[in-house]
Amino acid sequence: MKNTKQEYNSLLYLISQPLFLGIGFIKIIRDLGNDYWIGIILGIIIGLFIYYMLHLLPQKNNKIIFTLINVFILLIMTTILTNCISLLYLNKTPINIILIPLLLVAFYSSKKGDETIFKAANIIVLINIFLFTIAFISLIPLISINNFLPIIGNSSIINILLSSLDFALISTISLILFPHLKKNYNSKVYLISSLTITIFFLLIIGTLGINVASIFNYPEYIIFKRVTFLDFFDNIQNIIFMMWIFSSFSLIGLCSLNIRKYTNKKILLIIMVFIILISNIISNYNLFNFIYLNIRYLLLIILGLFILNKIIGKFKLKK
Amino acid sequence: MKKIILIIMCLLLTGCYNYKEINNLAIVSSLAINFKDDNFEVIIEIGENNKDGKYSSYILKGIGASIESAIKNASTSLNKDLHFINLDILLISSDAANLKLNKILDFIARDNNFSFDYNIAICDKSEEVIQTIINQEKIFGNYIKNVYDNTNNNLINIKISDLLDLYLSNYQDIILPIFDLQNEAIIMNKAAIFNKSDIVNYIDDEEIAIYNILNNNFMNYYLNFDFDDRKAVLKGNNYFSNIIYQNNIMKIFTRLEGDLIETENFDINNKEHLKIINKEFKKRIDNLIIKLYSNNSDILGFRNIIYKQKKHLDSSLNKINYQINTKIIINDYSLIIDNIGD
Repeated sequence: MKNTKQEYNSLLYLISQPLFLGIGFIKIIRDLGNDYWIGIILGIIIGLFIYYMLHLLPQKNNKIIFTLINVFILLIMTTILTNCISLLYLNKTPINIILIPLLLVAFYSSKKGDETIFKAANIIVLINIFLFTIAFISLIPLISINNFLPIIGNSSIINILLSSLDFALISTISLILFPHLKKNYNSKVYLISSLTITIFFLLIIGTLGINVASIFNYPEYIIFKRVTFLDFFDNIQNIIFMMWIFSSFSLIGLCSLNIRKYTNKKILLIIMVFIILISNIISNYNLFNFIYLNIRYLLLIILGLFILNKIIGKFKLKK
Repeated sequence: MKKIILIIMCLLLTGCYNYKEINNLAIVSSLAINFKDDNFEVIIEIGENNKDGKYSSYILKGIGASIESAIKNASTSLNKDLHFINLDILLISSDAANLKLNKILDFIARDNNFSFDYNIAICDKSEEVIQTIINQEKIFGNYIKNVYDNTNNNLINIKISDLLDLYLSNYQDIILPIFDLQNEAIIMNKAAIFNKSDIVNYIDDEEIAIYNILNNNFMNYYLNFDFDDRKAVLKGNNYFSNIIYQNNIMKIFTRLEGDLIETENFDINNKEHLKIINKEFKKRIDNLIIKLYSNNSDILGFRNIIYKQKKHLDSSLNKINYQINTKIIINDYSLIIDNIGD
């Protein structure tokens, strides 16, 4: 069965967000302070430009390089998600007990093919919109206008530009994994996804303020601790935060699907074992810290590899 | 292969690894942290739901070189895991607030087992205060939560997120309510004001009312005015305060509407009498600010207002000039026209 336009858009909306989890939000808030909003606006503009340029690139991929890109993003995403689940949900559970089932589900969904991933994305978007609406309505009364002042901080222009580049890369890099990028190009969906991220930034700063938001690893989770539903249900942060886990899982599923498509299931299994080994040898915490500190360079390398992949792909096609 | 994967997933994905039965969790309703002789002392109140449907709680006490070890020592005899996610109130002793506030905040902000929506107060008799409420067959944490949520009493309402914000700010000082015990009743009519992380002075009930009015915290205010032989009690029921920094002056504007609920030799219709009340109200705001200036305690956030406007701060608190404008509007909703007996 052919996937519908709505399913493509759903997946596109979901996969541009997960890299903000534990990395994007806190990095931009810590780096820019009160100037975060300038970084976001510039980031969206740069992101739109990157996305536009990406869709102009030829369709053909180089098998090895594109697989490598997927492996990189799969490693980054599993590290981020495992760290997040371990810290916020299952702090007494060994990392492997979190990581192995996660990869098994990704392996299973990749086996089911495109259709499963897209159909799941379609459902996840609805769940995410519902959860986001609850969080948004509950948090609006807790916002203090004072937290947004001073409107302009003391960040240097270089810092603002680098952070806007971070925003653009974090929000667009996962789009390179999208199947038929050229055909399914939709800048409106990217804009809506970026707007959702912007609203999250405003909720974080508005409810916590820059100083408090900066001390937490996951301010996007901390704000949910203050959410109450109908003044009756307290402590629903773990349920609402599931939206981030769902969208992260969509990206992990897409990476696994691409690896399987461009290689085979045995190689995907070997890669997954390799990821488990790495996170055991280096430790998930160290790996997460490395990703957090070097996210800009890692994403630039991935972007460079993607362009190289397209150039080689086109060259081979001409030959 | 499919079946093997399914079996593994069923075993691993059911989320049983970290699973805890609710009966095995000790739900902490209030926590008190004291600092004595270089050691932390914690008092933990654990809420329970009895079989007959009544709520009850009990206290655990522990001492240790760190907060964590004190909590561990307190819960050694308990065969349950402590669960702080429903914490309603954190009490800190004056010594702990003066000497170890940074460590306490670091501990509670770091741990995901804590909620992020509980009140904080200073209390030097925490065990007695908690026990007083427990003796009334109530849970202390719930009791305090109800006092804050369901009444409009004139209190200082500081939650953990507010305290963190104030503590991390370089331009505003902390204010915390004080819980005390008098004749087996809890009183909350005082608050401690800080300079950075040290308690420098205390403010009383009427000063708390002025503080709340200036911060637009909606509560019930009873302001007693006593001049010459005239007396009046004003119950504030509507107000608006605005503090702005303009032409190097901190301009404070407060409009307070209220009822005169008790009067003695006082004519509500006499404009001169109302002017005297307005003047007295202005004087009280001035007195509070003078007190804050003399203690170098910026709980009203004057320096923060300047910083947010100018992005830098070049003067200390007591060099900031201020100007107070007040307006009191009396709404007479009483059943009688004139004062009885005048």
